[in-house]
Amino acid sequence: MLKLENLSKTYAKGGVKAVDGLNLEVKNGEIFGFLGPNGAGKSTTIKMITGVLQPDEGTIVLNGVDIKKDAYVFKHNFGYVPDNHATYEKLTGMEYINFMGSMYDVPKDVLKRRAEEFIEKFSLGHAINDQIKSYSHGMKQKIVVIGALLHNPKLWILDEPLTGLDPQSAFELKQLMREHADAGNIVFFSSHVIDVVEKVCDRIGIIKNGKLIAVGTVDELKQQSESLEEFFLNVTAE
Amino acid sequence: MKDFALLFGVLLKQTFRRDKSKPQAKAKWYVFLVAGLIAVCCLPLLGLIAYIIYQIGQMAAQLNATTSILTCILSAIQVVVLLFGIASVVNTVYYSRDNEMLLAYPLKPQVIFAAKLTYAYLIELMTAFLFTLFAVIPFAIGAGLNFSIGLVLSFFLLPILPLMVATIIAIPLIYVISYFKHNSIIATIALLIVTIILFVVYFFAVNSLGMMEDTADMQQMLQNMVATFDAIANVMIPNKFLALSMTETAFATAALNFVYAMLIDLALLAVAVFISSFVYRRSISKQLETPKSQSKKQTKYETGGKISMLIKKDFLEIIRFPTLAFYCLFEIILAPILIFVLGVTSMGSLDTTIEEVGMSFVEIMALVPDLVAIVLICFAIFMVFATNYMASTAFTRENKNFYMIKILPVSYADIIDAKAILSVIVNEIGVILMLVVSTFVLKVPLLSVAIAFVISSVINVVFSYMQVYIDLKKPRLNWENISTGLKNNPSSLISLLVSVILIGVLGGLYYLVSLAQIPVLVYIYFAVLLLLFVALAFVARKITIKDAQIYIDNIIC
Repeated sequence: MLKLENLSKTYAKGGVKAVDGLNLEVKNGEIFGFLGPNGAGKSTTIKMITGVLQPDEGTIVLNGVDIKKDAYVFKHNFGYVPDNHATYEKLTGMEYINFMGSMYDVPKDVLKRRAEEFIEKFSLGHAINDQIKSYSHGMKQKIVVIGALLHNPKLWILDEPLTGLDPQSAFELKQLMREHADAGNIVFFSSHVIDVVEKVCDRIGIIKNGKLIAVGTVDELKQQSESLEEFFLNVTAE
Repeated sequence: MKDFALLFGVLLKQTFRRDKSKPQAKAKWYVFLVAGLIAVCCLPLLGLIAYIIYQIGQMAAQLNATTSILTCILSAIQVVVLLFGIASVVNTVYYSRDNEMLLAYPLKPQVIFAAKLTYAYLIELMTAFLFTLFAVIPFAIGAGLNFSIGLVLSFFLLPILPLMVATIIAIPLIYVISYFKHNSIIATIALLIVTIILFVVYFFAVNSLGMMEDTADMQQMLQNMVATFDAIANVMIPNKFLALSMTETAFATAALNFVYAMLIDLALLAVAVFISSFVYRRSISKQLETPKSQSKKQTKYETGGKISMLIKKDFLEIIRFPTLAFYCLFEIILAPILIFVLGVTSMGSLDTTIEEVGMSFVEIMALVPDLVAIVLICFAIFMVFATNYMASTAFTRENKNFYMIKILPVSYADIIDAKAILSVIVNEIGVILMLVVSTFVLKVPLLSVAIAFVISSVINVVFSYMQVYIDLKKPRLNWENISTGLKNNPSSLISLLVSVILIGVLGGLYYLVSLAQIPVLVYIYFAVLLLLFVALAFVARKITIKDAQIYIDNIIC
């Protein structure tokens, strides 16, 4: 289970709280969609969960491991796909996979099996020995996804994962998210595309001005309005 | 003109405007104290340099060769500006990340080129100013008003020739790099080989102008030197006019010479700009192309230790980025080339008996291996360790990938070790090449080589961790092209200062120890140095790893 307790973060500039006392629990086996308007605090929350940013207050615990107390074990248990697909572009796809496998202590035979499965799923075989810099936007997204899944993480975090993917790859990715959650893991992803969130997620959280203003299953939230989109627009309206 | 001003203004803001989203750290008292101490330590050295140049100025006046020697000094400054600036110019003008965006705007390529070139000029102006400050002002002590006026005006003309050369060199360079697009490692090697050739050709060209002959006659030697300076001055025509504008006593003649210098420089620059802007768009398009490779490489799965994989990743990232590789690997070739050229140009005179002492240079070196060793150590410190971009860009070069360091399940100690080890390896290659060339070309005694190797190797570790530490404290992560990430890099600037201080301390202590004239004392000094630097290496590693947690966690990316 991923548990965020009283999580807060204030950036030095302006003194405004980007995340303000956020409490959230995501159960194993869930796909959790994290929604919010621009600047609501989605990325800041994700960056705190991944350890990229240090929270001012609060705790982040994954399956009993507190990121503050044991960052090493915590990091071993998640995979992260950032929104800008920033990665080591001078490496070839193959070198990147080998690098990520080594970083996450994936045994060679497991690495080979899992990498081959993903490479085939995402049709990256033809370009796997090319440098990542020569990849298209979507191909970069795919290689980063593969790198994040090699160690079969307990928590898979994706920031705007479907941007730039072709329909076939987007379908494959959604399917992969479902399979990963069904295997008892957590998929935590942020998106602006409400249709996708509605179709893929088990539960949804909506954040505004750093505060979690709504949490529930898609059906629970839809009951409060005509559609999820309308509900989102209503609760996030100024 | 409006577009040019607008774009130029944006480029300046992009570089110099403070990032207001980051909290402004208040300078602590000990920062001022350290800065003050460094300044105090450097003052004697700067004073010494100024004194030497002052003496050269006096000697030039006595030999009636002021204009020629001044022309040579100005030309030397330009060579330094070119060496320091060529990668920066190429990066700013041709390899900047904003090129793709700018080409999509309704701007003429010539306008983009002119704005970027002017920006590069401004940056090189600062470099030229810095070197002119130390090299020319002491030379000018006692000179007239014309000299001072000419000197101030010459600041603005000095970067033009290097800029012109850089823009011309850049064109074939881009085509070479584009040609090797599929294999950027070959592009990097080609870049380094081209640099080696340019260096060697330059030094040999200067030497061939000299017509110097081996002689023990001091008067003859001075005459030969003056002839050398005259020959160089006659080739560097714009610089000669510039020098004349400073040395002429009549104001009108001085002003006329300055105008000549300016017109020649501007005409040469105009030709370079005309040629470059003509091919600019095509050159940019060429390097923006991302062709699909037809890689037939076998897919090979492999895993390894975390440190070794981090080192491999860093090395591949550097070697496949030609301009970054140029910066990071330049140190390997710099010291050996300088020693090689020095050795080859003085090959004949190394074994020639010097009348005053009745021994050859090689025989003298064999008599004082300890002195030769300390000179080699100092040379390695300054030319290899202090110019090491591998460590001083350890975190800066991560750029937008810095977040990976935070999310990967790798201890910060491993990350620091991987960065430092890569730097140590590269430095060590530089030191070994330098010592091999010294042994075979300069005929340096083997004992000196052995002492220099052992002590330099330990200092290498200290320097690498120190540079990694400084870069870790304040990495420049938001860069558009690698030059802006490296320019005024605190790590490289501080290591340069530390190297100067260290050379002063090592040299000074050696002098004091050798005053006792007890040979064994000098070797005890080397042994103490070795132990001291081994201890320092452990301390440097420990401090860097200890502080890594705080610094890495606090970096917002």
